[in-house]
Amino acid sequence: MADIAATRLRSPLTLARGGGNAGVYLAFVVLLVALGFAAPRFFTFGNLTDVLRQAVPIAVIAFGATFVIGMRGIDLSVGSTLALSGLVTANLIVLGYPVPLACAGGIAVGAVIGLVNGILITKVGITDFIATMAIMVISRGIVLVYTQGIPIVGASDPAFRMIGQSYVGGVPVPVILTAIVFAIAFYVLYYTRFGRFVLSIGSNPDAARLVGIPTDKVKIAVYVLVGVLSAFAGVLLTSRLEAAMPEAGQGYELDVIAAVVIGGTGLSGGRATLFGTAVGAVLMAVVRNALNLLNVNTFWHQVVIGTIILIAVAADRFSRRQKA
Amino acid sequence: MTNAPLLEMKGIAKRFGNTKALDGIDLVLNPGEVLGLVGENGAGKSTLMKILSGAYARDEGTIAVRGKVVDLNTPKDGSRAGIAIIYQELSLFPDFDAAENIFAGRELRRGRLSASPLDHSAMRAAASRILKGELGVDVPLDRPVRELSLSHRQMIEIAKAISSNADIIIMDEPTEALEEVERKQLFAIIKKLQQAGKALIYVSHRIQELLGIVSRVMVLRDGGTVADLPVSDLDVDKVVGAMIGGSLAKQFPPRVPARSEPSLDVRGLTKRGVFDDITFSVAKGEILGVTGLEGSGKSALLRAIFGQIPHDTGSILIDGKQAAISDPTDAIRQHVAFLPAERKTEGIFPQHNVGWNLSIANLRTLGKITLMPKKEREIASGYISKLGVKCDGAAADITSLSGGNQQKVMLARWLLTQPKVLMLEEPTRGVDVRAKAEVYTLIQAAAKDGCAVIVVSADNAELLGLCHRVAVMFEGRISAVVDAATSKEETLALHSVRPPQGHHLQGGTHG
Repeated sequence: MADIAATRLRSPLTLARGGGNAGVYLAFVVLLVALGFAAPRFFTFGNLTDVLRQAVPIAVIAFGATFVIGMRGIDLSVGSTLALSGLVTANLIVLGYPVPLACAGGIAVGAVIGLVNGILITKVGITDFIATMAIMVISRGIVLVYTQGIPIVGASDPAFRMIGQSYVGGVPVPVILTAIVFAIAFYVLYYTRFGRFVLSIGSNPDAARLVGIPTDKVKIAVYVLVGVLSAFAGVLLTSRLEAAMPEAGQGYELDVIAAVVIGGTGLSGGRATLFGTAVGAVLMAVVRNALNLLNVNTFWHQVVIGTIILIAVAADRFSRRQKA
Repeated sequence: MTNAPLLEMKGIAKRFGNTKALDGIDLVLNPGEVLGLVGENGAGKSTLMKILSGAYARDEGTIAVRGKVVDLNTPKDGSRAGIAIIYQELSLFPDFDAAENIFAGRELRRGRLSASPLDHSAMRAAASRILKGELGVDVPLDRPVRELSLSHRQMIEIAKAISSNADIIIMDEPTEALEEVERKQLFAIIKKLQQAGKALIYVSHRIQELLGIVSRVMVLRDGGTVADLPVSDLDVDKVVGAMIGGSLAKQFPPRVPARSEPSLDVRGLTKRGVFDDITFSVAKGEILGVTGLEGSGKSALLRAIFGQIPHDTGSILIDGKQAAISDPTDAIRQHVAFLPAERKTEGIFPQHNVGWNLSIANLRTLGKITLMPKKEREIASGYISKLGVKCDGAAADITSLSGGNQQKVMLARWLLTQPKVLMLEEPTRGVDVRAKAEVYTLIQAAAKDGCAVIVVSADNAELLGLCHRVAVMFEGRISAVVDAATSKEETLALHSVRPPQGHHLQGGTHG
């Protein structure tokens, strides 16, 4: 009995499931304790929920990016997808369409962008970096052309506002939705054939084809997944702001990659840790929040985040070399 | 000093781990001489050439060029000593033109400083002088080499060797991918180089062809020299005989008779330029060997049956029914399995454990929708004990296993797909002797269960010991099908280097 419990407990965190970055988990705990002393206000319930809510958009997209990076791919178009999807949703709400339809419209935009990314990469044969970078620029361009740089405001349908602004048992709804997305992604990545296909492609693309994995289809599906999750983040953000900002999600592609990498998923593919990604996304939000609480000039935030990325990856390298 | 040979290698030895790749090789080369170097795969030819070019460091022995002992520890040392090697996969920069490639790393400049601008016109003139003047070939000088034919690229490699004043030129399988006319051209150039006092080492599997070019032949077997004779004393049979030698006694399980009903029928399968009109069938329980030289189409044939590469015409029948296979996914659905030769690049998923690697080709056995970790452990443990895989259970990293045990996991992966047709490419490559015997037993057990088995191998002794029949491929065709129990290695080797004889052509019917 104890033995089974032990394997169960271990399994989501084992190497086979992507490992995770023990050093980062430790650093995270140390940081939280230190914060408790340095800024007592950090540990108030209101502040903690705020931190989580700030982590939401990056976390949601990063769960999808964990699939892409585990597959040895990359997607730079996530921030633009978020903006374009948010814009479409906001527009539909302003025009008076029903809330479910407006949300579905935004998410469909994300799915289409993901589909285009996937087809460009697999069927046209453009490198993932270049293809998604081009789509990133094009999508942002469409947003700017449509909005002329002016936010779309007035998406304040009460039902729509609920998505991003209400609470259940004191916990913000977006945080609950993010937890649900995490659970589904976790199941798909570690407990379905699709998840194994994704990580097999990342581990050895030639061997993946030779064991019968339809690699093109899987790749396209993964890019669609990221597109949908980016769009979902866009809907959440729009609902919270009751508006669509033309510059929404700018630079998110790098924050998302940072969250994934800090969590312990390597860019070399084959291994991916969703749990680590969640920690990475929250860690970045905590750092930003803490720097605010400690009255550090916001311009320093970038320096700190960059340093954390380097330390996290270096720690991961080091622990892996120790094992080998 | 003047009488010293151009090149003298003495007592060269090299080990890789516990295996002796070379053991006490002596090699002498005089100006104007063309030495043919032959041996089976793994005999040590390429190791010896890599030591000579400085790519590998030798463990023992001395190398002297023009009577002076030299140390060849890096490729740069090799070229400084006047040794140039032209590999099978040519090593040119595809986006540079001929002149840029010939002078790559030794660019001519308009001044003495290393920052001086490149003198493109001087390089182009020199390139043209070597290619047109000395070699007498018309190679386009202003196009990137990726647009040139293989033959032209080879000429550029040779020009590069000449321009660097190399006196010893090594050619590794230079005619493998050349057309008849291009080959003739190459032989003419070899003659010219010979007359200019250069010495050449010519490595090739094409014995007949080689005997027409070289002045002396050195035969390697298992890391040692077994013959070093002038070409006048030799013929194809003698060379092949020396290459094979007394075959090692291996542990083959006793043959089990095949059943009569055919399982796989291949009819007129053709991929233009690769293999042509291949027809054969394999019965349930039969093990068919396929041999042939590198490039004879044996590997491409298996990959075409598996749907990894498309074929042009012809059909594949399984259990008498037409099988539409356009990719490996289809093949696996039709219960066709394929174990590729390159385990590292085409087989294992290195970040994952034994259970993952074992179940990946048939994940449905782990659950319809949700994959059950418990089921995975059960199945993997079952195969681990059944196949005698030595590892720390299903959760052990695949890379922690020895080559032989990794290969057993690969075999288990395909047995789990319940194959009707099991195709194995070099199933014992990189596997030690003991594990080899175990792999043979497993292959035969699969046949006994009713699989039609095809084994491609460069090891003819293995094919004769394991298989019922062996098909020999030559330049994309089946040149002979022999009964394994009554044939000799020499027969297979001869058919591999000779064009098909008329009466062998009916080839592939089973029985």
